[in-house]
Amino acid sequence: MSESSTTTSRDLRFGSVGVGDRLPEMRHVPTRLQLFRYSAVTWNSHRIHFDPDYAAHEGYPDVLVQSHLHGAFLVTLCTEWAGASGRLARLEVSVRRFAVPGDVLVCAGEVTGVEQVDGTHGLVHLSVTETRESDATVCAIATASVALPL
Amino acid sequence: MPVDETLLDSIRTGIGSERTHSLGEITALTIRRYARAIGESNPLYYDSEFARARGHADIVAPPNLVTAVSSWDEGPAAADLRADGTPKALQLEGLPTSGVRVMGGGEDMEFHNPITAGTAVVERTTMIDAELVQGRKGPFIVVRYRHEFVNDDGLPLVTSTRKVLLR
Repeated sequence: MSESSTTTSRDLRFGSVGVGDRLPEMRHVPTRLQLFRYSAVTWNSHRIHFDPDYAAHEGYPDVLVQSHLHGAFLVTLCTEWAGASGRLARLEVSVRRFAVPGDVLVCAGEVTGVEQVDGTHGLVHLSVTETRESDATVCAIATASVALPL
Repeated sequence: MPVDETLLDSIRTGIGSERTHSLGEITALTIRRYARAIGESNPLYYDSEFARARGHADIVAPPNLVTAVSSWDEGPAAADLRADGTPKALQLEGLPTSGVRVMGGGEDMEFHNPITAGTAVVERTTMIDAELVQGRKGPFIVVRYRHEFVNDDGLPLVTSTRKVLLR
């Protein structure tokens, strides 16, 4: 699990961002314990996320990472990059393939567009992915928009 | 139940109708536990003083918290859960409760304003549209819902548009 936090110190500015910039990658290795706590705090009682026997019955190798946990990993990628002065304005996420505990999930992103909104802020558009490191399977893809001060 | 024009027409009668329900207060404990569960260490989610120094009234919720919660109340008794652990009574307005397979199909979230601890949140859910698609593995229906999360004064916090697939 990634525990880095640059959020307190980074002060990213719109003017210092350009199309093609890459976000620092983040790695997450979900565990059964993490999935249990995520199901608990979201009051999600679906067995597919905590009962390995049920998951096997459905044909899966282990319990499945919740779709919103995939989303949360991508949120963190964006907010860590945006830093304290930035704000995540939008995230459109689509989960494509399942992931299970022990998978190394690599979150990566790239700036695809920049757009000045007004005299004080700009929007940066990002393309982000969450990929399983072992076989390069893309588990989730998203587009995001981050508001940054000029 | 066949996934066809008849089912689509019946689902479409629900387009435009809005359902509002109060989610209650987003507590500081829920925020901190959610942040812990996703592996976050950002002090904005844990440290009230840090959050106040950043101009917030208190700690703020990680952006996708409100869209991730499956149930805002105690949920049904164990006898009222399906074999897969989900509630027998489907919360999705206007969809058949059995005979079709329901799957999530992506989510588009707009974050308008941060949700600070202690905010009472109201969710307004609207079915936006429904269409029948001929897929390679057979027909399926795509239903889109808009979920608007607002505070007591109607200030928009998060708007989420979700696709639900029926096979």
